[in-house]
Amino acid sequence: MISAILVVPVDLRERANFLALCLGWGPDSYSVPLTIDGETISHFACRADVTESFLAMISDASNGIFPSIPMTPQEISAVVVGLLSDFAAPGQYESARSHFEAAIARHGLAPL
Amino acid sequence: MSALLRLDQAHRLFYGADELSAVYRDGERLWPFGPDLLYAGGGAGFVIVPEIGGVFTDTAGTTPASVPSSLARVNDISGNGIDVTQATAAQRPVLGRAPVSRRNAIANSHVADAVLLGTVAAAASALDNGRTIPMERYTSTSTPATLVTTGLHKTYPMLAGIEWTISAYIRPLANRYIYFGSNGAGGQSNVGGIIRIDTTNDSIALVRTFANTFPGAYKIQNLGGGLYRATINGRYTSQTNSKTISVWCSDQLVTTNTTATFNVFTQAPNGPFDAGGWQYEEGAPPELNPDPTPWQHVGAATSDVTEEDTPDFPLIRFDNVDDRLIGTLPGAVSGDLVIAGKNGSLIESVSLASGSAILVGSGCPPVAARALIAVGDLVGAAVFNKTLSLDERDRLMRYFGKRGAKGLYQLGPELLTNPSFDVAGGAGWTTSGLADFSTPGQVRIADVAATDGAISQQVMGVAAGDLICVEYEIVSENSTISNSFRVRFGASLGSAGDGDVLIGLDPVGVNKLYHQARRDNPFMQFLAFSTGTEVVLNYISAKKMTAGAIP
Repeated sequence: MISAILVVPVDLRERANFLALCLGWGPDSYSVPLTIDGETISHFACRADVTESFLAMISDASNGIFPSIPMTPQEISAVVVGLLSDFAAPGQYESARSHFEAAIARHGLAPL
Repeated sequence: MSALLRLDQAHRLFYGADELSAVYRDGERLWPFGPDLLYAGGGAGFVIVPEIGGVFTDTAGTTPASVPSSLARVNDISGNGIDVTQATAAQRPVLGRAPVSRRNAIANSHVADAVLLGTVAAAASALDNGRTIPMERYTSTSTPATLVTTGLHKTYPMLAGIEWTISAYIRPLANRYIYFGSNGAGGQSNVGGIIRIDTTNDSIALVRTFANTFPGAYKIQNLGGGLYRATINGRYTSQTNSKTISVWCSDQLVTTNTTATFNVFTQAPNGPFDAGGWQYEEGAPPELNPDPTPWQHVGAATSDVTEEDTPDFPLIRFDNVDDRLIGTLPGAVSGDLVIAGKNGSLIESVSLASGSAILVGSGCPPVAARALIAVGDLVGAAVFNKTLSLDERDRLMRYFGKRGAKGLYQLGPELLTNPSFDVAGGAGWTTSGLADFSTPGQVRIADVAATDGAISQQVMGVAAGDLICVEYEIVSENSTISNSFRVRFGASLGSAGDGDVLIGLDPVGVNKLYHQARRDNPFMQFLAFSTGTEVVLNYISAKKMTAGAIP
């Protein structure tokens, strides 16, 4: 399995959660508040173990090939364009938490 | 003389020739002990233990989980029916398994991760003391007269200051020399060393070390039949994420090498060679003792560890980011929270209102969420509406210990100077911004006009890798977000290199956090981070934690 850190801006959270729900991930996937300025929530994150097929789906969506779900291509595309993602192979980090901390730091984000 | 039968310490019981599965008196089970017995008579609370209560991949509890699937539901075994569930896939913890003595922490320990200038194929497995060791065959595709190193590589985790021991099995076949390194060949930086084994006489030589990283030892074992096991132990002083074990064989003699990389081979291996049975262990180097520790198989997830001829037990791994299991408490509880893990166990006092959500994992009341970081993979957890007696604690820890938990954490002596601010002027503490010690026995820390207020102290007597319990009493605070007040660990005053623990939502009263030191003697800072934040503390205490023995 591949460790995935997925981050969306606040204004995309609802749509990203709906996309995840459509993909069978359940409700409220993006639940970890993050901040740029240390004061306000700017993004929400989730961490999950994903498969190669998930990476392929993200790649396909970036190339205009969208999964068959009750969202328009424009809605899906908006999430994919705004999505910050970071993937790590098994063993690349000492723990999932280490991966999370490194990934959000790369984007100038911190937990709130 | 009368004989005493200690049922609580019995592993197996017989009635005549028949082995008993349980002992009852007046309809009440006396043996075997389980945490559910502590609820006899109807105490509130819950117990989750992955192997007994039932673990499922769906919230309805219809599909049993198997390793390494994610968990949507874990059933309560207390009899109170407080099952915990998670409907969101990304927030589900993972079911794992491990022997009581888990050592190998390397994912996919049966295969290499990378092949340099060659191909890899399956090879006949090896035997070490009757235990099967999977092997792979490496065949070089490099050409002569090319400055290359070739071979098999295996990634392993690396945390600053953590002592490690790496090992692998090698069949050199027609090659005279084995080279075994604690970093990848052909691009290594500065960790560990490289040893050379001459298979004509089993002599061993150290051909490369790297600055400030190789205080450990190395060893080679000739296991017969052309099979060797090589081991290197070391400790790396700087933070990184991972390094690479490397194995390559050759007829070419390399005596020493001090260049930046080890690309000194001018000929390909003299035919294929085999390697496998990769192992990475934290801590002292048991591999270097006369009886090396057996190889353990680790699956694609490092929470899936098995060992031939050794029983393993289920565990639950949380990612400590967003994983959590949720239940609802039907009645108020005031008593002990027990969290038993592979690294150690904790018992904390909790008070939970009737109808409140019970969270296991991220989002728990701070003490419980942070406890998971301290205890590691979860062997079991329980909440009791009472304070456990010493005898009950011992029985409970024996129960969890048999399933792979380590004993209750013991606290060492105080590591801070002037922890309760009794010495005038905050002696021992360094301040920045507004940090006011004018009230004896207290400190007031505030962020005024966007200038962070902070107090700092270097925590002496700590080695990288040590677990520290930081306890602090908040007298008053006005923070409304977790980010506003934090504890920061780093290499120097104010340095955030080792991460922040956000405590802005901690309630007034005594609170705790746990931190695994990433360096010797780290600096610790209590920091008012957001404008207007003001916190008054009564004391700050820092003590090393050591997992005690199972009673």
